[in-house]
Amino acid sequence: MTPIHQERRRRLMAAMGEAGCDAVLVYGNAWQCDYLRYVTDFPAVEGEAMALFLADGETRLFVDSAADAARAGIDAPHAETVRCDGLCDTVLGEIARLGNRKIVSAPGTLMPYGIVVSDAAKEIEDGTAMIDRLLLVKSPVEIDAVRRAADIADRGYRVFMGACRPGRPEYELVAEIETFFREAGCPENFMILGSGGVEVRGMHPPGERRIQAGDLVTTELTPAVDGYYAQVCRTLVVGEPSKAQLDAFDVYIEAVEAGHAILKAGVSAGEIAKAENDVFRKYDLGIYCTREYTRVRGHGVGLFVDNPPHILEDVDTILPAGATLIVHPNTYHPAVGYMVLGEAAVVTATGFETFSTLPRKLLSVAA
Amino acid sequence: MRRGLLAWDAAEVPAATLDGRVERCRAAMAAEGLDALLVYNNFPRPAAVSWLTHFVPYWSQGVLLVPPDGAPEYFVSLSKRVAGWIADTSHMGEIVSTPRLGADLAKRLGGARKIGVVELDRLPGGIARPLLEGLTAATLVDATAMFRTVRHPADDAEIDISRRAAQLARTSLDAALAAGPYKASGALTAAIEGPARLAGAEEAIVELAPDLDDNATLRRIDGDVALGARFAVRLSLACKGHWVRLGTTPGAGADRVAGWLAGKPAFAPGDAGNGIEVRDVLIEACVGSFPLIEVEALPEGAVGVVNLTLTVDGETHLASVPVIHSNGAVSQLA
Repeated sequence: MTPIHQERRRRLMAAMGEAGCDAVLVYGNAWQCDYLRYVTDFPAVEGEAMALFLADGETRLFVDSAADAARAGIDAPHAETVRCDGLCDTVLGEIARLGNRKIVSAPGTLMPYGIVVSDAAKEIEDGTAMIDRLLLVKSPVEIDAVRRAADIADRGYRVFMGACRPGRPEYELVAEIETFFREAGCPENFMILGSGGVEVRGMHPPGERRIQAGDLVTTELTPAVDGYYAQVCRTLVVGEPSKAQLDAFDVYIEAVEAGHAILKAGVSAGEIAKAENDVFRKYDLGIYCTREYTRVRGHGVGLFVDNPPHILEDVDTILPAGATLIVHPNTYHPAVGYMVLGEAAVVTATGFETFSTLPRKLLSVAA
Repeated sequence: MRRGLLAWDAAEVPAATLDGRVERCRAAMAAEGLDALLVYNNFPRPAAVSWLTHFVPYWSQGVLLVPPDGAPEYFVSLSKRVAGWIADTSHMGEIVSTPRLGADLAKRLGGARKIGVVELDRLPGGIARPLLEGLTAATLVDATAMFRTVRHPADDAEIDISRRAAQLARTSLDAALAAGPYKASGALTAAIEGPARLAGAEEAIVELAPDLDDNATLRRIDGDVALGARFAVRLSLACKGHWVRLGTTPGAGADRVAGWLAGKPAFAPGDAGNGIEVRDVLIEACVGSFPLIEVEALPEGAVGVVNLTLTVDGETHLASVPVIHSNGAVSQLA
């Protein structure tokens, strides 16, 4: 068992003890695996899986396929792996065998229909908040994993800058980054991008559009190390940035700095978002902080790309020391198009520590 | 996460082909007395919706509503800003961006009495609960088996794209192995995956059994591990929503395995001659929302993958080949 997982198990068992909880049922898939990975260390790559974690640390992992069962034997050797013909039915059978015990489950939003409509579900409490608290506050070994992911993200962004040349289709840029990440031993990355001018309103997976001189090219890179993601968002110009592009980007720099200026343990996610958005409002750009133009003003990072809390003005989650997150005021600017800026950081008692060494400015590459 | 080339080429997958697939669904729906069909998708479960609409999500989740008539409607929790990209890469009707998938689907399905759901058992609770609360007069029924009956045989577009994916996998794998040797997993993985993505693969996942003398389990490697004297490698590759796998065990015995595969074998356990013994056969196909999933037998007309555990002169070899089941025989796709 890895040191990072030993620490997670210790914290999980302590939380279960506090809650008087006998077992935790978790679900995960290749899209969102944070709850499952926290409890089992098993990274779902293709299928779905569930796990029951008992108060004494005994772990039963339920998978769909023989291939996943074999993988689990290596990736989660401490767990007893059960290969199921019917995932939900098998899990319900195990729950019945546990008898009259207090069981909680997470995450409530993804727990499958076969579980949530069962009679057993009436006795299962929602444990999402309990696991969310564990996911939010990172231990030193978890923070180190995020730090290493941030280092790979920075190096990946430099590869991205080298790959970004006029005439190349977007998907070739991504291919170069992915090649770099695999060489570095990084198996997973979330990445979207945008290229073009004032018509670009967001980012998306790569298409066939070819990079042109004068383009703004945005991307967020989110590689994972030991399952922990770190994100970096940067914007570059193909060629010399125009005055309009530089002036517009100054707003994003100021917004990130405003968020960072108040970022410390005890501050709410909503306060961070307000600090960022107030900068846009100051320049009569407040409308571009609304859902019509942007999703969030940052978010947690960890065992999922997009962990809570979302940095939005109506989110009152208090950020504790040890939370890892990204402050990114990514949105559309009416003068030049969509721009992004931000990098992963860990919250401390007195402020924060960011892991990125990339310059926080509008970058450029040769046209 | 999906981050390869996602694009719809209507010449490659004509709208009429996608419409034809929807009609196949509708005929089955009518036979089962369904007022609507719901098909869930997310990043690891894109296949049923992509087969019907060409849409492959890179993130988040959605539900395709196939009504008795009219274009399928897609309810998705991605933001409105992404709706244009969804429309550009797919063929569907209205796109409803909403964080309340279950509740908004329930409103839309107000008059329905019997609603089929593909893989009902796996519908996420965050969608299922509000859907059930909102559908006071309707019954949800599992439409997994119904969908399986219409999913095959593969049409020309699916076969052509699968064949192209298989060829791209073959080119990428062969070129990388020819450029070796490799001391560690990262260099080999990058040498395979990079060219595949540069050539337009929608996704590429390399799995390794880095030291066959220690363990014969294929897995995605987290980190950079040393390769043993004997290793196995498998590339899972997607193009336009269709997945193939190609795997091999380089070194002594590889030529004999390749020769045996070229001889159109029966893919059955037992002595295959020439020192080759087939120990285990695992067949995968796309029959629902998962791109590839274990099946007992490949449906007639389906494309799929045969994963083999072999011994050659007593040493373990792993191999995977894309196949098609045509006229009662399973043969290699490329």
